Amino acid sequence: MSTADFFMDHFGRHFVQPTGDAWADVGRVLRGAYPMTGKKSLSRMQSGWAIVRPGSATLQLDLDIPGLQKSRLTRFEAFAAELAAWDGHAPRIFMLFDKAPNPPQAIFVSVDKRRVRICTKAGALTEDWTTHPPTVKGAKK
Amino acid sequence: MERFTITADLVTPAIINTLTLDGLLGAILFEALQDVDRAHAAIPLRCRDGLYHASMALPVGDAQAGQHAFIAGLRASHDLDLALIKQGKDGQPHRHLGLTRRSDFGNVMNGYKTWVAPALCWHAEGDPEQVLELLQEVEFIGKKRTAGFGQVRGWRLSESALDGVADAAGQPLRPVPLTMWHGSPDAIRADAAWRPAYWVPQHRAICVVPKGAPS
Repeated sequence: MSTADFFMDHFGRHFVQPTGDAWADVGRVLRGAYPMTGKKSLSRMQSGWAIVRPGSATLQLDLDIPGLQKSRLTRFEAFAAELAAWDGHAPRIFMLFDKAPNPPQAIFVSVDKRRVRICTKAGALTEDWTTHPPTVKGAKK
Repeated sequence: MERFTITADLVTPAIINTLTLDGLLGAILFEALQDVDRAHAAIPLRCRDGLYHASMALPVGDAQAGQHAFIAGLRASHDLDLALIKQGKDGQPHRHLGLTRRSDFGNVMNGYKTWVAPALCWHAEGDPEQVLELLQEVEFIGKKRTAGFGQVRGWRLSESALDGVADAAGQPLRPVPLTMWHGSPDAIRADAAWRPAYWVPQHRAICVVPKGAPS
């Protein structure tokens, strides 16, 4: 399984028409601007998070893209819930978005709870979910 | 083809990630040949279906992981050429660049993980004499070599029972694609580059990776 093919098959194809060069398509998806729900303006994926699974994907940013699930959870809540429910075998892509687009080479598939990779604009953060489960940062006590 | 261990005695901490011996040798050969394909073809190690029998760097002795931070600083009025700044329709930069704008272009901190260890070693299968010959002149390895990291005192060859792919317990010594893995089924799986050039995303696959492998 190619990371780029998995990304395009279950997430990217909702945004752009695949050209056959999957890694180039991943870059186009991550850099592209898309219509926002109920607005005329376009927006890049420049905030929030996304989770890609076999057959489905969830995006926090409210883009008007059919075929994607939407969620209002924070990234910590969403990732913690996904990891808790995950069998640790079926591939997942965890992405965090920021103003600068994530580079395609920073997109990694996670296939093991001991090596969970969170894809960001600065590369992939690696965590062992079995020893360091994610915690909600900045929670008020 | 012989199985061997090559050891680099370190003088200073090394900044390395998944530095496989084939990756290191490929980089040395590329400097001489200036051709990626020829450099990889010339690596004197056993290669099976694109997979080199060469481990990742393993710390020897009392090893400690550390952190080091560098700050890359730009002096806006000295170091930045206005020709490098995106210009507007009138041919001028979008923003006036002066000392007060320095913070917009200013210091960037980069963090690196370091290995403090007496030595690093690699297990491999191939031609040990050729490998030693290639490495003999190498005085620094890893990142930030010009800042003094990864200084090597010398290289030593010794015999090994390992083939550079799996250790005696059946755990991987390097990233190995799942389809090519015949060792322990409980090895950690990750999306990783498994053949040079390691920075090319097309060279990645779902692999088994060593337990303590840095990301």
